[in-house]
Amino acid sequence: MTTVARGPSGPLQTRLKVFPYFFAFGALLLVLWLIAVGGAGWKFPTPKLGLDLQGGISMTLEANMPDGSTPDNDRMEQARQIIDDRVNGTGVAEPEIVVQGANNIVVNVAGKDTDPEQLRKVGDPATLRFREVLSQTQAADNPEEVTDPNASGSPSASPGDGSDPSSSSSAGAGDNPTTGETKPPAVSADVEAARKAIAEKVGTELYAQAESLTQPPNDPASMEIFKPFGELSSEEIAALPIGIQYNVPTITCKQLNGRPPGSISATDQQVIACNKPESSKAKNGLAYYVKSKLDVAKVVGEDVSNAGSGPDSQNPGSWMVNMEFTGQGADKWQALTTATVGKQVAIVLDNLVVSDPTIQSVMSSSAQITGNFRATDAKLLAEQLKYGALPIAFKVLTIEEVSPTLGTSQMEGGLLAGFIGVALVIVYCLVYYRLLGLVVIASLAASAALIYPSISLLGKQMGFTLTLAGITGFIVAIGITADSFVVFFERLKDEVKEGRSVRSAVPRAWALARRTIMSANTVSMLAAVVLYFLAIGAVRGFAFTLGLSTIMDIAVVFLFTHPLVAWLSRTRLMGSTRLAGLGASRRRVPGAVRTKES
Amino acid sequence: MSDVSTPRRSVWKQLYSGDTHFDIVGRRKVWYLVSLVLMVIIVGSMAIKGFNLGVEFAGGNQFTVHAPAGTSLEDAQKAVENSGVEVESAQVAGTGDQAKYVLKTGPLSDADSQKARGAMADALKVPSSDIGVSEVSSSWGKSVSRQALVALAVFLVLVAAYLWLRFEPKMAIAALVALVHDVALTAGVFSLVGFEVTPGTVVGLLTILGYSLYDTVVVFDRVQENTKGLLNETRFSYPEAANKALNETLMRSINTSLIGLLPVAGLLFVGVGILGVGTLKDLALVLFVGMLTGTYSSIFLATPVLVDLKMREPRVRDHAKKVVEKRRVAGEKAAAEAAATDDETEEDAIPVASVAPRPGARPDTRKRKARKL
Repeated sequence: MTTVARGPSGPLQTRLKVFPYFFAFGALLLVLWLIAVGGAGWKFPTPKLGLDLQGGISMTLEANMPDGSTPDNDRMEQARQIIDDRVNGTGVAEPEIVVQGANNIVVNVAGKDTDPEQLRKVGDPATLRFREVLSQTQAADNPEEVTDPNASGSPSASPGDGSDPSSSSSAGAGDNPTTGETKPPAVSADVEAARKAIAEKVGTELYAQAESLTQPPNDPASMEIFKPFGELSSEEIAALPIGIQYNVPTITCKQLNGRPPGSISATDQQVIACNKPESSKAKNGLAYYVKSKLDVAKVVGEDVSNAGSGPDSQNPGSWMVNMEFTGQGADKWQALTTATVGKQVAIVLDNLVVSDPTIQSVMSSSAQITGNFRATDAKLLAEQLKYGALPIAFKVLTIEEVSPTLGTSQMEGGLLAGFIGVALVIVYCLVYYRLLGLVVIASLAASAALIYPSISLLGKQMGFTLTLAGITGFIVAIGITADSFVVFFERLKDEVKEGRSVRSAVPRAWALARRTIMSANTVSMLAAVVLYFLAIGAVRGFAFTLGLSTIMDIAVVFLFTHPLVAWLSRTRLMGSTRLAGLGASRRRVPGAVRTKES
Repeated sequence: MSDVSTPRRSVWKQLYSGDTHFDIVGRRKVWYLVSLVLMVIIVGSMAIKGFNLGVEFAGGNQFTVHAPAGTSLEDAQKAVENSGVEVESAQVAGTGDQAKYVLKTGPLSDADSQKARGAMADALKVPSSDIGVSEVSSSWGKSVSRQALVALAVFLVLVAAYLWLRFEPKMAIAALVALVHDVALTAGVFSLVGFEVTPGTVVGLLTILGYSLYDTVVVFDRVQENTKGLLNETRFSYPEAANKALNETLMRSINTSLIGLLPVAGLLFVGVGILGVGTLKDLALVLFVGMLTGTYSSIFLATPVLVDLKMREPRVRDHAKKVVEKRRVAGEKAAAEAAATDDETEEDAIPVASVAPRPGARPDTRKRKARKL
């Protein structure tokens, strides 16, 4: 810098050499921009926009531990990896799968090609169980209208409606005497308490009556009697003994399918599960839901070594899944098929029977699952089997679908808000601080010049996406950034008021303000870091940008604002405190102060 | 005190130059009473009125679409209802180009959701991909709130530890009191006015934490500076020094709050006025209310509480008594001598002033600086 000291020789304080600061700031700026521009392929870098700004689907999953505890990080990461593989397996472009907080996983998919139903399945635990069908009964759900399986291109069509040539038509065969009834499994105190609560809810007499049923009655009278059971939640249903789940006719498949994930994954217990209605069993164009009582699981998902999908040759237009078993798995599968020739074996995925073919002959190394799948469903199921079950069960907390037009309008809204905010701050600073107001504006611009390449860079390197909440974070941070300058300038005003020249006031004011700025920014930073790592949802974007702004604020105030003010203080411009916005209330003539200080 | 020579100026001028002498600490009982009354009102409101919880807490689906010209909200609502889905609430949000129809329903199955979306698209003659759907399970709001509480607890512990080390334990306690006050008051305003509480609001509430403390930290920094070595002399008592710090940082507090509030006002204008729904609105509202209470508490609550905590220390209390006693004695002496011509009686009584002040000088500031150097 070529500034020459004006006036009489300065006070005893050493003059701040401003050049190294400006140089450091310039270098920082240059490096950030170079990396950002280079990373963007030598084009103007643009930040990666979040789904709420460009449109897409976002799903939040929450780990659902049976005992309500928090899953450990390893298992969460493992689950994240599996979900990542599954999403990638479905061919979606650039999905983003991140762990948030202690027990949430967020799946973000940009664009509008994914349908929510498809995405939802990605979070299914995909625990696969092969269980012998002990008996089946028609459920009380409203039957589904049979649709043409070939018309399943529309996203609203549910999979699995259509014929399954390999399965028998034993629906309604509820009078199969159950052989080898295992003794009811020991239940935990929680379940015991839940059952008691349900018994009180539906009436203890009715509960006892339900318990005493040995097979599902199908007369209209009992539908009326057991009505209260139809109003229980899925969670309550899951706590009931299987006898009640199966025999009480008013318990619907909708209730059973909604049971928390993992409710029927225990391999050593008999369970109740439902089939999707199949059009081959349709009566008058209506297909009925079927409740099945299933034996203990003899073969499980871990016994599957590989899986793939392909068109179902016997059922054109529909897809199937091929599985290969591990060595041990093949033995178990052989044992199961040997024992069940002529009987049905249910392939149970989570809470649902995907298919329940009748075993024609003994099989060993491989098996097919046919269930009139759509291509995407078959692919996903194969991915689920291949990559294994999730180590933790998840439930879907939110699915948010933002249309691109809405995203654009949110983006515009956010930018407009930022624009208004900056304009108001600039006007206020100019009115209040006059010349120093220009310094505030320059510093805010410097801060923006650091932040912009940073977010583009972080988008490329770390996958940071700028969301609406993130934009809000930047807007709020304008206040916090500007405050660092306010703290400094108010100190400066104090010093000038006490009779110093602007020039000698700067080093003193800076020394005191620096401390305050650091303490205050530490608190801001703490809040940002805690929120980022612990909170879930949009606030993380907010916390991230707030934290980033705080760091940049420190860089700007140390490397830019303070040197700039120090440099300006040596110029004639700042000689006038009125012009500098330092207040007109200096009490002494400048000369007197200088003598006092030297 | 030493401003006798300066003619009385307007409050604004005083504020601008940081020369105010508001006795904020001395009237702390009044502020406590104000805060207490506010607390009673809001706790009452929370207990009786509760909160206007958004769809996110009950679970359900929300359909959002830009209002196409020549259609009405009723068209959209009827179409959805005709598809067999019950609409819980329907509203037009935003203005002008940004006008949107927002329809909320209870929890829907995917099939029903698609049916409603298709019906809405047909009725409004837009592609169904233009309709944004957000589906929220009933536990989402709870999960967000639970994580928010965890974050709040961790933040409180960390920040208390930081303030404990950086300042002193009593300041940590006073700052936390102010913080809790802010969070409670903001929540209370939401209950009282009946603003809709969404998970966005809950997270917005968290973001006030940093802001509220930020303000308090700046004031405490000055209090700490002004009270360093205070007990070794008898010029000011602790409450007086703290009050001085408050006055000195008053303009900064107001400036900071204004500069912080201006961008949020921009957010509020766009979020509430133009967009009418979504993240911006949720955050802007809670930030606006929170920043206002944050400023209030950092001035009127944090420092007064700190003073009361400090006055529990015997040596601070004794020191304050000593200051009063000294001043009384000095006053009597001055009156007795009656020879004092035009000068400050108070300053003659200061034993530590080794150098005689030049006429009209302001020895108090000099001395303060001497300590700093």
